Amino acid sequence: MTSTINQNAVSDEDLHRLIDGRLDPARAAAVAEHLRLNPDDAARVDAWRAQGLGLHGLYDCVLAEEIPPRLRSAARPWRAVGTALTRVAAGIALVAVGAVGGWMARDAGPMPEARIVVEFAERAAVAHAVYLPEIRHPVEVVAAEAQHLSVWTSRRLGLSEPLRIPDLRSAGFDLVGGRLLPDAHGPAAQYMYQDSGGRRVTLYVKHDPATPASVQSDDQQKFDFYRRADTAVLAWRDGALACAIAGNIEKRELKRIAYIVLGYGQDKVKTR
Amino acid sequence: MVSDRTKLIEEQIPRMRRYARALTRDPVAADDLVQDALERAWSRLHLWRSGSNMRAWLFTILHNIHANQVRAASIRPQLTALADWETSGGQAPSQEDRLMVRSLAQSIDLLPEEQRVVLLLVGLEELTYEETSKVLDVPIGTVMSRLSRAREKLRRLMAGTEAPIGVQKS
Repeated sequence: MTSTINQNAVSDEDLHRLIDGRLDPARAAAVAEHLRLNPDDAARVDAWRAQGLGLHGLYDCVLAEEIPPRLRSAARPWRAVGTALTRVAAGIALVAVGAVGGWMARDAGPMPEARIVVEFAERAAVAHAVYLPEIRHPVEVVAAEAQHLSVWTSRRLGLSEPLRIPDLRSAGFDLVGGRLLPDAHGPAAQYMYQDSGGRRVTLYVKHDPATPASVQSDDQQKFDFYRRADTAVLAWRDGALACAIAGNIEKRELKRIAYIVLGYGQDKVKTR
Repeated sequence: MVSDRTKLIEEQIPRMRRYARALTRDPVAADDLVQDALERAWSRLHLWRSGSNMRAWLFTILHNIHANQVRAASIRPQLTALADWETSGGQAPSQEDRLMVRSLAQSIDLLPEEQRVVLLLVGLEELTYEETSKVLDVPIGTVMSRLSRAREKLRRLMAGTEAPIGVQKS
């Protein structure tokens, strides 16, 4: 309890800086002297220091834990996305890469394959019809946040890698955005596109990991066509993804878009 | 370039997990928080200036998510607190009245959120005062005063010389 009058009086801030290793070395001697002369402050400093040690004692074990895979994948998502959306053909690998064989190879499944396809296409058509006329809330996440949209929907669909949201500008359609929807047994993502005439098409995607990804050659790409009122739907399987493109447009145009989604170049489409 | 940044982010995961664990005291909630932060970080990576402090940036994101969650939770009715209130006959929870020596973990839980956060960022994560100020978006002076109050309150709580609601020893 000495009252050493000192213009460089030691403050509480000095004491905290001392503990945190942020004390100006020039003040070290003055602070040490202060603590020697003020046992109350010295006791406080000891207690504060013990708190820090205690905190490390409680929680440092976390540092040694193995990082859960879900955090690892959250930290290194989608390197590919950073490159270019334009690299559709190669980049769409996750969406595309063959795998058309057996729409839903649920051999033991109770539902016939065709029935499953129809119901899936039906849901895509309904989802399309519901959001088609929306002016204010056509999507939950707008195209300006396309990266977030990709991350969010891919994660919710249960994909281990991000979906590259297809670029349909070559067909005259710009991405409006997307949303998550309830589908049978889980979520589906809907991505909406619009052309300069205000026409909208929606891409409906669902993850179906139960189906083994089998690869089939490009030329055997199989589409299922479905129509519900004014809405036309083309559905196909793409690896572990079930996809459907819906629009109030002609089947031919829809098919052209489907091929773009699948990553085919324009010229390839023309040869068909 | 992208992979460099990915690496920078990955390096911070263990510390983010430690901080989140201390903050939530719930391993699952903590990892959820870290995952949310990582996803948001990734979707905003274009906003991160190359060469700037990745750790401070990630902790800022994590802090903001947590602060929003705390805010959202505080709007919900506190059912357990109400139950305590009733069993203690309309008085403040009796357990809280008692002056007792508390463990460090218990005591930290009794700190006001804003003090707890500073204590953990500085005392556990060893962020500089400047980094902490950036993460919390408050002036350094505020960081220092919160830190000081947190450490003093914690010391008294653990020594049993202060009841959390400020009841004096009789």
